[in-house]
Amino acid sequence: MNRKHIQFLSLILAVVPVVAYQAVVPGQALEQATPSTAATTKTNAAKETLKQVQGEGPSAPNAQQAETWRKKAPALPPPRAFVMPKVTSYKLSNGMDVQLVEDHRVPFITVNIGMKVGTSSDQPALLGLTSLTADMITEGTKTKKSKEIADEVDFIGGGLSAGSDVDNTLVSGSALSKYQDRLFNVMADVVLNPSFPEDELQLKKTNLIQELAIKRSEPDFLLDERFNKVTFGNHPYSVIAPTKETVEKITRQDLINFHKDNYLPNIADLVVVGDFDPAKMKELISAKFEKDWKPGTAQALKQTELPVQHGRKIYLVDRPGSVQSSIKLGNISIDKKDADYFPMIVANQILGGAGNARLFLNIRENKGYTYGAYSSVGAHKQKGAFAAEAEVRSDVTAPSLQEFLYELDRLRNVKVSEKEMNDAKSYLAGSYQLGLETQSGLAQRLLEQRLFELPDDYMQTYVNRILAVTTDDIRRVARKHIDLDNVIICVVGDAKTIKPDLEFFAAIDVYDTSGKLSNGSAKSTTPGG
Amino acid sequence: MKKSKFGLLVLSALTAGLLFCSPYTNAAETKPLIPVTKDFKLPNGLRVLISEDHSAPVAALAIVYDVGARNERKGKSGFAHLFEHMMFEGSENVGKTEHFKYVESAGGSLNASTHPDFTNYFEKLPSNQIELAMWLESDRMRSLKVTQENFENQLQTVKEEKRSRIDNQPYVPASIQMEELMYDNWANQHPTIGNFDDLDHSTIHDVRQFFKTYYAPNNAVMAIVGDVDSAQMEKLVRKYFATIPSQPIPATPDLTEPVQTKAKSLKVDDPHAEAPAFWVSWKAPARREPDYYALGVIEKLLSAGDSSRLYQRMVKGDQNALKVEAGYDERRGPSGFEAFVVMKPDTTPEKVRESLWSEIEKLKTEPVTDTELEKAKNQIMRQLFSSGSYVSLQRSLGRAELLAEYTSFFGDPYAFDKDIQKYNQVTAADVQRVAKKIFTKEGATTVDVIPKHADPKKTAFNN
Repeated sequence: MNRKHIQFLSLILAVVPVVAYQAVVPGQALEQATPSTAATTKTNAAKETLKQVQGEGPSAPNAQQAETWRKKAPALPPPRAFVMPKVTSYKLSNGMDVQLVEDHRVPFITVNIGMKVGTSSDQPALLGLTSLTADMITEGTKTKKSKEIADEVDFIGGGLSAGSDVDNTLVSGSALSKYQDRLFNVMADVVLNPSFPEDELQLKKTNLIQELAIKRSEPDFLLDERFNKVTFGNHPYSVIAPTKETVEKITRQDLINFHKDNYLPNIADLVVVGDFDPAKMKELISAKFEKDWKPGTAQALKQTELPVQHGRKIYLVDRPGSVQSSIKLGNISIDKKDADYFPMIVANQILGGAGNARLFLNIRENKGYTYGAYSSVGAHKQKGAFAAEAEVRSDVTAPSLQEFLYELDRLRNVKVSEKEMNDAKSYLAGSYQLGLETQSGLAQRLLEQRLFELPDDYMQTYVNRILAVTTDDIRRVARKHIDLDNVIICVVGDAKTIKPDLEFFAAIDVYDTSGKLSNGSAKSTTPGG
Repeated sequence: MKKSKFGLLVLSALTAGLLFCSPYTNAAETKPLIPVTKDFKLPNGLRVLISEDHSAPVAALAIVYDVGARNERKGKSGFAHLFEHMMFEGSENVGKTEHFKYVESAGGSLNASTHPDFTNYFEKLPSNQIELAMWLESDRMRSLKVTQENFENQLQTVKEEKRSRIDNQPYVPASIQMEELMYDNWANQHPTIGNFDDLDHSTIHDVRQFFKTYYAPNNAVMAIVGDVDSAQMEKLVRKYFATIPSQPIPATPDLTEPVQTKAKSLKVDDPHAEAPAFWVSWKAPARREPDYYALGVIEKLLSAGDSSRLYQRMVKGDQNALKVEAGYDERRGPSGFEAFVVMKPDTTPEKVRESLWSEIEKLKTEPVTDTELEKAKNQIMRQLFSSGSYVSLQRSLGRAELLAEYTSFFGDPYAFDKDIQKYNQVTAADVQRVAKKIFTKEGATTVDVIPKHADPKKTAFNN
């Protein structure tokens, strides 16, 4: 029953199974442990569904050619009404927000706690503190050692992890539902009473530093590092990982202080989805998260000015021996609450949301340059980046870049067809609903609504908001949020092979894999570089 | 006109339905975990399973074809997977890449994957759209259409996939060499992705032959799971699939794997790895063989969660590993059990292997406690019921794939429930006995990965 080799090899990329179409869209994390701050989206689609000619079950075995009723895709069934799962919402006296959804399909329970504090609050000298604090809360409490916590979580068929992204911190737990009391015990313990043992912290820091070194061997990391540095400048979103130096500086006292100041019930949202009795669940929540958890003053969100780009430029990270080039181009676009959010995700869907979007069809299907080409809208609490990316063979780096620019320009200039737009809308609406099939998928959407302070009817109206987008909206937002004159182009690849051809597109700054500018052009004043 | 109207229809259609409205309470002991509401075989040999469940407005369709890399001939490695790509290049009534257009514009998702021992194709859709999946799957099963141009394009795409997901990644090329060394039979050892030389020798003629041989209804099992009406599904299945002719049953490949009597080892240079790493692997029993269940429990003991033995010993205790994992690569035939360790920089592989082997020896010499055994079994239950797992019973697609796989491999959709029972029956003595049998010194294959930054001149680029 287990296909464990998938999990096993996921560490090093699954060799088996080999999947025809890469389903993961960069930046998307529908069922991951962290809240979907990056509101990246998937796919678009196209369909002409016409009436099918009803035939009686064909009887002649060789009648294949005669089956003309197959010419058309089956007719669409009539629409059904949308019904949200029943959500019970309330607030605890300490300000913690609670949402409960019963799901008795399986004997399992999923519990998520989100707190509105993310890595953006890291001070430059102590980069990594927010993440390290989250990472450390499961490594010991006032009464339990790291191993005891792990034993307990694994025994109850559970999972427990904590992590931070740019805007939020998420603690997610789950267990077989017969052990729900034990799950709440351990979750409350790690959130309220972490002790940050010195020896565990030292080990975590050492390993983190070594993992950072390993990350430098991965083209994805190098690409995102450079792209975010250039795009976000001094803004905290520019940082995708801490450095050895800042991690070394972080002390146990820093973690204790950070936890005390930021792990507050008044910025926390709790979501429970699963097989539980609601009255008992409310008692359990009150006993574990209300009595001993006192509110405090939350940090104000830091606003930092974003850099302005002057002209199109290429930032090339030299990775000698690379058999491929990783390309990413884009610019700052919108935040999660922007009025253009829905038009932008539809536009993105058409451009590069998935396997039948323009980038994929052009660069993969027609040209065969890549295994997959996608785009994404990284809308966070503050403005994120709109970007398109692909890994391509080294010898077609320049032709691929040309196609990217062509597709971005086309979206800005030529109105999309109604059909292309409707297909994209259908996909977005459908995948939203399909994503609610699992406990964690539903919990994540409920949490997202609170963490980003979206309207209470956000989930109910999501589909209608997508429906309301017009073809004019799409061109308007493409022109507004895709800035081709000043687009930031990052490439990771073998500079010796690819640089001569790239020079025809724009001026190039070359970096080595440690992030150092190695032979930049005269005007190499890159923000944050 | 028509088009935009349809767009709207699709939309409202998929924003429909009640979530979790009719829960089935857990009576796992008495009721099957995936209750089959219909199980039938068409005259052409296609076996079909339907599991009706109205708790979420979603339905999934999965087809398993009994063909994988193990059916490939020498000199044609990678062909099963290349063929899988061709299944998206159009059939009589569906154009190239239109599977994506149709399914995604209905708000669904789809994909396919090729394994050593099977190939699957699947769609997940708003449940009132599921007929679309039948139309698409039946059209390519009966009338796959391939052109030279599409074939060459997909050949390039597969090569790009190999570069992207394998050649250009740390540790992955070495994992392939590890499997090539661990198995002795070419049918088991060669990589599913294939190699460039073999791929270049594939022709469109091979595509046609492969299709005829392996993509026949009598070589497939289909499962439909979710918010559907079983009787209506049966009617539709008959309509779409009944006229597809059956084919002679293909020969089963010889998978015989000799018992390994002498330890094997290899060193692999890795231009993309930063930290040294190694594998230790052993040949392992096939799925559902008697020792399969105890080895599944051993995998959990060694590697599931932060409390697992290898993590506690090597990452937390001896602190000589950055990462350690153990995985049972379970197949229908000869399988492998693989431990993978990414080492800390300031140590030697020999030292780190001492830690690993001492945990392996402990399995053989000390009986596991009742609590730890129960923990491992609860982790297996977690794999069934949590949201994220591949086999999660929360997901209609997970259930469809399980039904199709179990029925294709073992002819019995309820073999799944029997497996769960057998996992629960594993004893401490079973764990010791199986550990002694599998984890021998002479049966081990060890592959060391040595980070070596590439000289661009030396980079393999077989194109």
